[in-house]
Amino acid sequence: MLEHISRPAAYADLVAVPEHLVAEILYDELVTHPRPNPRGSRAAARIMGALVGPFDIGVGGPGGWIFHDEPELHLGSHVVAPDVAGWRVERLPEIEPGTDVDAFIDTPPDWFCEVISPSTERRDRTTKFKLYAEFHVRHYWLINPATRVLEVYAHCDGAWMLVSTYSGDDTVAAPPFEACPMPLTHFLPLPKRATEGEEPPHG
Amino acid sequence: MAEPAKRNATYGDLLALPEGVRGEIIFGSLYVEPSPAPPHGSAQFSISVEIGGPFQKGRGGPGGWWFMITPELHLGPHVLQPDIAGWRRERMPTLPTTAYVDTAPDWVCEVLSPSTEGRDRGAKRRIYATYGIGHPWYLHPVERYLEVSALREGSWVLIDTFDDATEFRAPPFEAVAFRLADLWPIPPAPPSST
Repeated sequence: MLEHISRPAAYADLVAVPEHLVAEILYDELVTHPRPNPRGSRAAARIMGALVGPFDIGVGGPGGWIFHDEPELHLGSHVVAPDVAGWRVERLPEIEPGTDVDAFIDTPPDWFCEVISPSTERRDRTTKFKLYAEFHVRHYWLINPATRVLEVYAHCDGAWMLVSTYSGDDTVAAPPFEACPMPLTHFLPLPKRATEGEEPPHG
Repeated sequence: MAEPAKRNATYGDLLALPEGVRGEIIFGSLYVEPSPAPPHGSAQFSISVEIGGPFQKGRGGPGGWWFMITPELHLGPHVLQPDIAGWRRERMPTLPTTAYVDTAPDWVCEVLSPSTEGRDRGAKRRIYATYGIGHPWYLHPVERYLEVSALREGSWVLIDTFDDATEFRAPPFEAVAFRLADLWPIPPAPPSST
């Protein structure tokens, strides 16, 4: 059982969190959630897998991005652990071979993707939107493997705009990765049985 | 055996559904839902009570609205049944005598559930944008949040997402402050271990 902390959370509090939990410090509060379940971690792996080729390595796409899987981000006083994050390559300093590397990144990403799970959904839809806007993150994807929905948001003119929503076998051509359209099934495989609730028209 | 040619669903298909089964026709396809589970139905009732008092009855609020629970909306070729819909009375001065409403509402509230969230956030929201329904509310009774968006030049802008912690005002009902905790008919479940 985690001890309740009534003062602003410190990094030492985060370090004390047991290994089986993911910890963040958001607006001075230490928050934790369980490590992703298999459905969630598969979705995160698929997203990275689908984007890294064209946008990081540059095979079949323009490259120009760096992706990190569950990085620890230090943004101001916040410690954030997104599922997947991406930076345009010119914004992240090169890591020289042989040098010591910080355990965290303090450059805000250009793009986040959060995989929704019951333990994180409320925070993904409330606190994270507010925080990412404060750090001028322009692109935020929310993917829900249980409902099979991808929501793509872009921050402009001071608000988060819903650019598009994808489900089923839609083709995803969404900023900032619209240069390489790909089927949603690359991120979220279709279930083997028919979609629940669907019935064909009566003949 | 040859497959029958796929055809668009018709209103006749919807009328042929058994009693108590909700149907919608969205971009030519028929979608069928059984009656909502108790938490869903209870959340629909709770929101209606909270909003209906000030905005339909004028008790503690300005009135000027009608509300309906799962009305049958005919919006062009689509037949939708949002969980709750509201109309400003100046746009619809009398209630229709038909079994359906073909005046687009000014507000809808969808109570999200796993089997419907894909359609609610996807195709139905696109239809709401086409018909100018400017401030849809999305209420998730299990995750306990309320998401409010606004239509700006044909695109959805996220206004805010509220959770239990705060009193809030949200368009189009900003005249009255609500507490999200008042919308939940049941106390929160104890934290799960997964």
